[in-house]
Amino acid sequence: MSLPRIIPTLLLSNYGLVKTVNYKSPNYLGDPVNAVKIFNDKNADEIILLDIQSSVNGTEPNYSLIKKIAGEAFMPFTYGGGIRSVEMAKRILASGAEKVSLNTINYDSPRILTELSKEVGSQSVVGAFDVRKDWFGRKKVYNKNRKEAKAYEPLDYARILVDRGAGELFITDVDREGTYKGYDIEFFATIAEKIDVPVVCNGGCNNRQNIKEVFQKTEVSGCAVGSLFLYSGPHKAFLLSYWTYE
Amino acid sequence: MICIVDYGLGNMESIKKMINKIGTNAIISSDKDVIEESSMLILPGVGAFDQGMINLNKMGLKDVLYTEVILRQKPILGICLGMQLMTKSSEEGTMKGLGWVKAVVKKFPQRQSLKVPHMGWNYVYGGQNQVLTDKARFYFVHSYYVDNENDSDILYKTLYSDIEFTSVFKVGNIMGIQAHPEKSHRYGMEFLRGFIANEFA
Repeated sequence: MSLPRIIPTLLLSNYGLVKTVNYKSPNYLGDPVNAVKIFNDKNADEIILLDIQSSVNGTEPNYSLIKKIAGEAFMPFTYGGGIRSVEMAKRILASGAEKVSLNTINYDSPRILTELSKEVGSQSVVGAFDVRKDWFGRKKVYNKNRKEAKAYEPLDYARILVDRGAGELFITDVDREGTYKGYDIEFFATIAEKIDVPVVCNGGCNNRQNIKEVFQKTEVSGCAVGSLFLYSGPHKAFLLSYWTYE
Repeated sequence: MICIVDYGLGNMESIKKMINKIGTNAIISSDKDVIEESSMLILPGVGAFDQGMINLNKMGLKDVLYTEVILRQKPILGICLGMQLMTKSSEEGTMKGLGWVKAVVKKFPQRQSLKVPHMGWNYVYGGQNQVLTDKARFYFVHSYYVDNENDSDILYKTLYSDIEFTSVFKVGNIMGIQAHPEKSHRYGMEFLRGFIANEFA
């Protein structure tokens, strides 16, 4: 098997770095390019950058920022957030991102992921979705702006995205995002076991042991880490940290 | 002067940045004169095989590359798709490759336990001279791999599940690396430094 991946996940809002809890109440943290340089020096495996405003605002990505980040990053870098056309995705890749992540657009225009995958190769296309517990405590697919998402069972939806051409899946547990409660190992194990493409889990990472557990107990290929790398200490002071490769 | 051949595919800026970081100049160009005047070439590439060949043909680069690489024996490094294009053919497409290297490109088999594409960090091993550090690893993203006819052309191998494939080949002035040095931080820099200094000879 390929080596397991630990992936710092940075959230952008209006071109600044932010962090959220359950994807709400963004707390501004600073310049994303600086964050990338720091992860560079610490030889981070790869990074993910998600623009959490684009989808809501319907704005274009900041291509020159993407270029800058990709130029600084000597590790692979995935960009996602508000991508809604093949041209937009290709432009992001041309700006230097290794992969693009498509989330909300998959509910609106399913064929875009397929077309993109055909043109650039599935290895550059990540199918992303969020999950959240419903009133009965069952995890359902979730999207803040697309109510129809919750009609899907996570495993079914994962298969759908793979069938459409996603080369990797990025799944965020919104209930745990920003909470330090630990990844929902049982949930991610079920998905990764049945899916043939690499699965990256996101949401809740609380320590190194938690990550080790994910790789020991599941077939998950990568752990996306947000709060743990960005914050440290009880006052949530902004601090970037990374562990040397185990 | 190193020329990173621009045929529309690949992380050209990243490669240039990394080469700059290790202290050399590189120019990204599809200009025949630049390719002819450069001392070394890099053929980058991300994407599908046929698209790569179509672009090389469309931009009229096949001939100048043949002259510089095969006739003039200019050192060239193919990266990822660039490496694959140097072979005879690929299962990914229907077009012929450049045919500079006796090898074909094969698809990773569709198996329950094998996640395709091979995406992530992995080790390379082999290497007659110790150019790379002992546990050198690189970032790979590919669904197809190079299968060399001659073992002597293989410089480094990589194991993915139970499949051993060529991660680096070298045939005289022609080198190919399946992984992305420009995305492999300190190991990538080590590799590029070695290529530029001709240490892999």
